[in-house]
Amino acid sequence: MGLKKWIAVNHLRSCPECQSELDKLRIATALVHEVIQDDEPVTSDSIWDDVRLRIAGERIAESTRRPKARRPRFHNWVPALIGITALFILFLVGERMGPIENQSMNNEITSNIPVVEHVDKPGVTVMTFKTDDPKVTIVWFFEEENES
Amino acid sequence: MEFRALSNPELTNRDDATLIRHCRSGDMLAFEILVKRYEHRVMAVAYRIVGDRQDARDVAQEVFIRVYRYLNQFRNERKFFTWLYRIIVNASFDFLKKEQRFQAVPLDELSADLTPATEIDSADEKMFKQQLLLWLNTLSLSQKTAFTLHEIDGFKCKEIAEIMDIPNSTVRSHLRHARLRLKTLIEKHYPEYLEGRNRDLSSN
Repeated sequence: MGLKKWIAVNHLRSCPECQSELDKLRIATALVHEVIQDDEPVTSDSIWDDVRLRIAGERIAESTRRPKARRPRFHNWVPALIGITALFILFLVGERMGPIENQSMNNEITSNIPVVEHVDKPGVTVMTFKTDDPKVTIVWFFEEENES
Repeated sequence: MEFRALSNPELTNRDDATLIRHCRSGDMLAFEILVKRYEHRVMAVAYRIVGDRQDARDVAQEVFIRVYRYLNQFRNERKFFTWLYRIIVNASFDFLKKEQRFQAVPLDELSADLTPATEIDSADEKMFKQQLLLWLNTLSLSQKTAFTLHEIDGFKCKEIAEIMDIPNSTVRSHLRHARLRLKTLIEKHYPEYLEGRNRDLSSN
């Protein structure tokens, strides 16, 4: 017996009001129980025939259901084609525009080693990365922390 | 699930697990036996929830259609009874939702409409029983379902929680509210029924 139940059982022994309340709850439940059981529907008609007919109907409906019309699948590759075309156009534009040059940066090093260069504006540091592609340069700006 | 006929009269006395295995392999006779074995109980449970005999019959049909559809998904034959009850409760709730018949009546509204017990013959047991059934139908659907599953079908709280797909604590709460409400109504309008039984208990 759990602690709560033990406490409750012990209390009931010494409290007639609570015991009476519990008895009424039990009696009310028992009364409803009897009434529900008396009221249960009594029928000798089986529902099997109705169930069987419904199952047969479902099976017929399933077998006669038209297969879903195949939608043309071209729409699956259209977005991919658009993406590829966009990349191609960007590449062509890059070819025609030539290398990107920044006037404020001097002494641009053409090696692949990243170099930190200071631009004219004090407190701003620039790192320039030159890549294998002469037309592509990565420029990274960040501010130096003021030391005080 | 495809059915094929099997003329095996021994199936009638087989347990649920055997019938389910036969159903899954396509035996329509096994499914028929399963339906006939449980149809009255299914109708009784559905009737307690939906409150009408013809509606209960319709719900019972729906229950077995769902059993047919989903039997292949049922994995544990030992709990077929609980699984069946879950389908009954869900089908009954779906039916009432479709008919828009969910409504619990607040206790104070209900009491105001009742004729005081002193004006009717309180010894009229038939009237009392009819009144009790009316009061039972004023419980919330969940309270009524939990109460009848516990008191009539003998399910434990844990099983009811599984059937109704609600926490155990909610089941206990429903039972508590249902018992208290019914006791309050009987005590107010037919106190002699409680006292009479109480005297019997005391004398025993």
